[in-house]
Amino acid sequence: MSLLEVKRCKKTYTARFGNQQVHALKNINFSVEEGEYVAIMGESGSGKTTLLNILATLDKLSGGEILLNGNDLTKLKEKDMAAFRRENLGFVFQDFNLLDTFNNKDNILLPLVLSKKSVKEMNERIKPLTKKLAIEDIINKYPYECSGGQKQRIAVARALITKPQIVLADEPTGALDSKSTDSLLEMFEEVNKDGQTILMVTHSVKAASHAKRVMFIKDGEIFYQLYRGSLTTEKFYQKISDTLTILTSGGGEIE
Amino acid sequence: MNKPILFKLARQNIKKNSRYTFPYILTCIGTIMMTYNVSAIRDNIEGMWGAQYIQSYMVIGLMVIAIFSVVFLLYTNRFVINQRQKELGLYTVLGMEKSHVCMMVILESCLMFLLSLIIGLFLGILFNKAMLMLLFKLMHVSQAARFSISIQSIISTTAIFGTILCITIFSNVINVVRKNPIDLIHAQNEGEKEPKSNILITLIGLISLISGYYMAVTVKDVINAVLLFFVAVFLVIIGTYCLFTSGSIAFLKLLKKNKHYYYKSKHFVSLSGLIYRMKQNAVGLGNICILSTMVLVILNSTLTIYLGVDRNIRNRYPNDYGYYFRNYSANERESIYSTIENEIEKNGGVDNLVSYTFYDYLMESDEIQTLNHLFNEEYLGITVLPLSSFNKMTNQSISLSENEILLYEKYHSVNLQELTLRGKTFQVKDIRYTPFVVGRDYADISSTYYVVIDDSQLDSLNINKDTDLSYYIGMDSGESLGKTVDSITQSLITLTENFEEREGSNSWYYGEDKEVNREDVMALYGGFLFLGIFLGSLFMMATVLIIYYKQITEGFQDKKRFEILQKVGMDRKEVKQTINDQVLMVFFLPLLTAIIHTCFAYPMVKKILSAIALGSVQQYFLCALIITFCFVLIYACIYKLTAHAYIKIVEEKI
Repeated sequence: MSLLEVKRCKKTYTARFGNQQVHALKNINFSVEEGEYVAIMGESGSGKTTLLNILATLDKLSGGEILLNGNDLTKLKEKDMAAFRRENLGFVFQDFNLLDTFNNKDNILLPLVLSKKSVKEMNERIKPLTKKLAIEDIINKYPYECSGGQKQRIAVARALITKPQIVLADEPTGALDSKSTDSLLEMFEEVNKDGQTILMVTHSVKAASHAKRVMFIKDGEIFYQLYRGSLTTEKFYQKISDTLTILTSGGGEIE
Repeated sequence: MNKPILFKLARQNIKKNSRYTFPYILTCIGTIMMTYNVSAIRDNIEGMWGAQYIQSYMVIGLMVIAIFSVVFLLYTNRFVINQRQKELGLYTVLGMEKSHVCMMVILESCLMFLLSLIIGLFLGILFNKAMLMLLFKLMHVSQAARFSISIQSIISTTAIFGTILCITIFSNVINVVRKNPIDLIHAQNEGEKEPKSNILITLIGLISLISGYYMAVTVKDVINAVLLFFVAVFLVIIGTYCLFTSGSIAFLKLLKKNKHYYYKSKHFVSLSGLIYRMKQNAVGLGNICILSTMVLVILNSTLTIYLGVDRNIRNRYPNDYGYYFRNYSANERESIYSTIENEIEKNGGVDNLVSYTFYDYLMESDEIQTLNHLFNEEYLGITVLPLSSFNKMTNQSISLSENEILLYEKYHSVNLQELTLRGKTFQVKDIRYTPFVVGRDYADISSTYYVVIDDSQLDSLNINKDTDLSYYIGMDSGESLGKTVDSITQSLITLTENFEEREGSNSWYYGEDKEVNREDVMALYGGFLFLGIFLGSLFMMATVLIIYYKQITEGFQDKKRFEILQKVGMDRKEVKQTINDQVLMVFFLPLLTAIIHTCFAYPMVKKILSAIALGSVQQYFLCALIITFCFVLIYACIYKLTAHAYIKIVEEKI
């Protein structure tokens, strides 16, 4: 059984006035195995953020079902959602979403505090993480004192500290310079090597080229998939890039 | 850029930003209304009985309101313009020149000013009659309110607020000119440093607060109370601001250091949020606290004074009309009494005629020493009553031996075995007696001790029975008293002219009319209460507005934070709980502090009140209780309303 299964996923927005409907997601089917590193690519408006929001239980489906470890997310009750999100999902956002009122350590600990873990356990969990993500120097600083790359590391630490089933990343490199991007992507790869499942939404080819599999989404549908196989990052980059060119220029029809 | 477009833009901006501009305009209207009213009351009561008191109060009131309006309107204006930085920046980016933006801002200010002025003056004129009626009722003046529109007041109000308008325009223009568009756009996103608590400031705050409190609690007597009152107020104000700005953060950080307390989901988010909130709001909260304390103290004391007025008059003027004679010999006193008796008979008699002699002086400091362990005061008056007068006035037949005296204080009984006066030691006779106080002594601000001594022993206190004693004659009667008093006064003038001139004598007398004085006192205290209510409501309005603006700003700042918290896995219930905890603490802290301040102010205020007019202690407590209750109620209502506005903002689009 796959870790995450998305079946016949549909999302329709209705304009507030009038009855014009917009189909953000039409018919999405895919599954993610445990330990996979999947990137979802697509242009602005293709529906990839909507998909991520739905996986994050921040938005609701119009039809279909999503199974995480066999549990149907769409059947979750409102009051259980926050706890579910906290315990099973980790988030990394484009704009970091760190709280300026907390220092970095407290930002990382936030989900654990909300889950009412003991101080002892918090310390046990945060120690190996800081080492692995190389954030020991900045752990007691405040987010506004840190660079974008450092902030994103803190955000990753926050996502990982709950030992989530799956990490959802929304354009994690969108606000980073190229150097920080490189080091963040390396970090993702390393985390993935340790067995962490990652699902990333991006339109950066570079970011996607680090993944094991890339799905292309267009007009609310999964359009195409690429597996890295044994390709190097550089080769995979080329392949993704070519696919994108075809996708955007001709919608896949070869003339 | 042509004028009509600017005008249209200005109008639209005011409407679009009504969340900020509406309360601002409301404040303007309120302050304009009050300014006009105070000024117009001064004009409308010209020539009325007691008008001079009210007029001088109103001048003070006008000054307070004017200063207050300047400070407060500038504060709210700053707030409004700060919220709009981004919008103003956008106009520049879209291609408006700075001069155009300035023009637009000026136009907006003028439009809001004109609107508030028209409505404010209109409402002011409308309410003026009601205000006058309230004032007359408080002063117990029966005449119907004369009511006219005071052109002079309209002009002076317009002038005051015109000046304020100019200042606000000036500060707004400076604000626009000084910043470049990018600054304006990013103004609201400036990252915030973690607040630091300054130990020195915390200490200063603690010390000034404690010494202010100490002063209030240990104040010895009225004179010191009056002298030290403003010192204590000043210290407490400094203490409040220091502790709010620095002490609160120090306290919260201390809590944060306790890991097991801090890393609980209940405290984690609120605590760190509060530290930031306190940093931004300390001064605002300090303002609220000080204003609330002012409202409470002013209303408490003015109401106590006002309610105590009847009893005071009764004590101070025991008879409808009373004469005090000083330094007349025994023979002269007799002829004065018979003259007055004659005149009364000629004019149809009076209901009651009393007379007694007494002797009063300020105690020597060494004499005070012997009393000092009872009352820790620096100034003591003493009134010696011959036993005959005391027995006559209290309808008793106490007898005292050579060395015996009766001793009591104006307001309390005294437990003392013996007392040394002018070198002679007396035994204090311990029996039940009814204290009797000379009316005039009620007006003394210091304590007055009464020593009742046998007539034959007056010599031993170096009191010349013949020339040193003061003499009081009082009479009660119905309405015909005026005529009687007139003829008594006439004959007293001729009588006293005939008294022989003694060497070194400075004999004099005067009469006092209870009704005349009552009207006077009513005008005085009624005006006092009126001003109290007036200033109380003004400060209340300020408090409401500060609270409202605080909630709104914080709502916008916290919105983003709570969005993140929800994404990270906080559920709605927890978010709401956290918001409530923070808001509750922040807004009820000043109220609580204000109530504590008021409690500590009590000993001092009591002393001062006893000088002006002692209302009873129970009365003060009752007033304080009722007023505090009402205040808390109003405060809670405001809180509820504004918290609603806050939550609406925070939850928008989450």
